[in-house]
This record gives sequence, C-alpha cells and structure tokens, in this order.
Amino acid sequence: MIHRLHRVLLVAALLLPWLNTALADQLDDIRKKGEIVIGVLGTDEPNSFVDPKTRGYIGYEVDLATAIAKKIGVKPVFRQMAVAARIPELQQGRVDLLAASLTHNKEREAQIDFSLTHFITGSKVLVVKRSGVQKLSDLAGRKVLTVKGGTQEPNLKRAVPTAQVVTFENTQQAFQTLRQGKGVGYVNDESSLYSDIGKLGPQASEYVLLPENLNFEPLALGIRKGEKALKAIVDATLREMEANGDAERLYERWWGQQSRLKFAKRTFKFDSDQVAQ
Amino acid sequence: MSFAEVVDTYWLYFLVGQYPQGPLGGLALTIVLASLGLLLALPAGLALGLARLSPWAALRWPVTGLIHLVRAVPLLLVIFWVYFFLPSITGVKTSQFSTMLMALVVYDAVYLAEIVRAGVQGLPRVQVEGARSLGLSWLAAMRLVLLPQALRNMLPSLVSQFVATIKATSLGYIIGLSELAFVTTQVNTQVFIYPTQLYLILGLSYFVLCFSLTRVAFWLERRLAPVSGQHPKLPARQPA
Repeated sequence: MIHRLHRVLLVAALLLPWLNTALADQLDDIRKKGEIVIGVLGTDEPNSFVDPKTRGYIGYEVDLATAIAKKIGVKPVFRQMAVAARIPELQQGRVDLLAASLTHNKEREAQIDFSLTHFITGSKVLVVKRSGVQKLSDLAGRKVLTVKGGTQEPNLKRAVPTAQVVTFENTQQAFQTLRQGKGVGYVNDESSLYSDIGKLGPQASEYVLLPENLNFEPLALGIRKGEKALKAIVDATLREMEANGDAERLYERWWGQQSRLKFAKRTFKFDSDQVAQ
Repeated sequence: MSFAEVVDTYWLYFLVGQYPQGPLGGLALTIVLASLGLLLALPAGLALGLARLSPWAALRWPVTGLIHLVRAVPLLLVIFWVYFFLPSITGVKTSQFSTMLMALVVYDAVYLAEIVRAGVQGLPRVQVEGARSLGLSWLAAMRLVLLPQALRNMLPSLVSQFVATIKATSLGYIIGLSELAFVTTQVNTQVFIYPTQLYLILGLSYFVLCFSLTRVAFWLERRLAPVSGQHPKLPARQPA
C-alpha cells in the first residue's frame, strides 16, 4: 500500500512542472504558430458580434485585436467564449489574448494582466417605469436582474446591499425576464443598455435608465500573467492607434455618431493601464 | 426588422455557423456531434456493460467504480472538468469539439453500460446455463446467445438514451461551442425582439432530430422482432 502511494506521489511530482507553465515566451509561440488566438464574447454588440452577412466576428474589440495581430505580423483567429469561462481560458493558454468586454479591476489583477484601458463604461440600471423606482436606493428589497459571472452583480450589491439580485447565463435572458415583469430593474454596462434600448422600438418608452453610475468600468484586453513581451507589443499598438487617430476613428465607427448607439464624444485616451481601487 | 427578415438574414448562420470561413456550427454541428456521439458511445457502452458483467474482478471493479462516479456527476461538470482540469494535468489541450465529444461519449457509455447489464441480466437464467453447458466460452455465450436476445429487448431504453444525448449537445455552450442552442441565443441577443419565435424554432429543430431518431428505432424494432411474439418458448417441464 505504502509502495503504491509512493509511486503515485512520484508520478504527481514528475507531472507538476507541467501544470500551468508556459515553456517559452508566449509572443515567440504566437510568431511560431503564425496566428494569435483571441477570445471574444461574440454576443456583445458593439464590442464583438456576428456579422450576419459574412458570419464572421466584427466589432470594436475585434478591430483592436486585428490591429494587434497585424502589428505582430500574424493571422488573428477569433474564438468565442462564455462570460464566466474567459479568465480560465486565458490562464490555460487556450487563447492568447482576451478581447471579451473584460472589465479591468483590482481583484482580477491577481489572476491576469491587462493592456491599456481601451474603453470606459459604467454599469447602470434600467428600470420598468411603472415600478416607480426613481433612484438607486429605491431598489432596496426589489428584484433586480443581471448576468452571471461579470462585474454587474457585485457592483449592484455594493450600491444597494438589500436588493434581491437574480442572475442569468447571458444579458439577453436577464433582459427578457425584465420585459416579462419578473423584476423591476436590469443591470448592465451603460453601452450595452443603450444598444438594448435601441432594439426595443416603441416599447422603449416603458423603461427608464437610472442616472447614477454603479461604478466606473475600464475595459481592457486580458493577457496571461507575466507575459511581458506580449503586453509590450499590445500596449505599443494601442498607443500607436491613439497617436495616428485610429483609436478615435474606431470609437466613432462603433460607439459614436456613425454608429447605432450615438454615444457622445470620446472622453478617454489609450494611455493608462492603471485602475483605481 | 420583421421576423421574415430575421430568418432571411440568419438562416445560414443557424444552419452551419461560420462555416466555411470559421468552424462548423449551428444545426450541422449539433447533428455531427450527436451522430458521432451515438456511434462511438454504443460500442463503448457495450464494452463497459460487458466488463461490468464479466466474471473477472480485475475488469469488473474499476468499470463499476467508473460507472458509479460518472453517473453521480452532472454532465455539465464533466464537460467543464474535461475542458479546464484535464489539460492542466496531462498538458494536452483538446479543442472545444473534441472535448464535448469525449465528455458525451464517456457519459453516454456509462448509462448504456447499465442498460446492457439490465438487458443481459433480464434474460432467463437458463439461457446462460444452456449456452455454457453446450461448451461455449463466456465470451462466445455472450456474443452468440445472450447479446442478440438482450439487444432486442434493450432497444427502447437505448433509444431513450440516444435521444437524451442529442439534447445534451446543447450543454456545449459552457465551453463556447457554437452548437444549435448557442447559435440561437446569439441570434436572439442580436435581434432581441423575437425570443418566442426563435426559441420555438430551436425547440422544433430538436424535436425533428429526436423524433426522426425514434421513428428509425421503431422501424428497427419491428424488423428485429421475432415473427411470433417474444422469445422462443421453452418446452414445459415434464413432470418426472
């Protein structure tokens, strides 16, 4: 028995170095493969979504990632993933880069590294007009719906600890539940909320957006921890795009006046990878 | 956007996903996944079932353990583990498709194994005794006498399990596999205002797949049925 146990331990010890270790520099691997695998959500307009005509991925983050691939000189390959699977996929090296509407926050810094912030949004709450909710504190004790595994749920709990939060696999299910009258509010990134409201048509008048921001959400690309060379080239690409005006053009195309969302002028720049506590 | 326009815009995506520019998806992926799953799970299930019945403890015990373990874990977790946990031990990263296929085959084979065991053990004891006393080895008795009878009786349970497998492919969403349910959700997120219609189409698609399988199985069952009723009757025992 003891013998057998020893053998198991020995095998485990031999396998251990293989656990979660990148043998070489990831940027070298990417160059060697000739392709960079980019994790996207594929369900989040305008960051990454499916173009019905070409059936390929398009969007703001898709364009950013494509620019990075071009800079490295490799082919971008997009792989879609569930919200909750994003960070494990990156940590295991199944994708080289995350461009998946990823919020950069302090908690996540322990797990992965982030590029320069490429977008700033905030979570807001969309409420049913009839419910009489007019400010965040009115949500106390009421049922509020959102997506599982993102930052929306903890942010709401921080703002309104007594709200009853119900979570769903994707934002669409949460919003559908709101439309069926099974909750009074729905939390999402401001950007996505505008896009959701836009699709409602005349029914949009049944809902109001609460003015308060639950938080400030800087979005960034996710990079595996410690991959300095890859992070350097990603950040350099973003800085270059800021300098030559591509960053501004992409914003206008996907978020600004040329888009369906009609966001106001851009108020941030690709210049920092630091976030507030 | 009217619903007709939605259908016109997304039908191809619904059927094949991003293929040929990207990976196969949608209805086609679900069909490929389910068919391969069934084809591989049947022999695997038979093998596991026989191992579970086998007179050799060295074979029976580990397989019994495996069956108890896998049956007690939700398929969703099996998929998650195969995808995220196995690679960190083995160092081999399987793709989304092969992960899902492996998880389906293992999970399915374990259930099939128990159906096989029930089928064989449900046969009258005299079948084994008769076969063995004719001098057939255990394997030959299984192959020539027991399994042909047992498989026929197992058919309804096998079909139920196969139908469950077709529907289980939808769990691939957890690892981002763009099978039918995932693609429908994706289209729904994009279009936003026709959830009822889209999910009705999704439900109908699964119904058509599963119902066709049960019809084929029904036809097979009729063909395999012995001409006159059930098993050949044993002669009544003569009073001594």
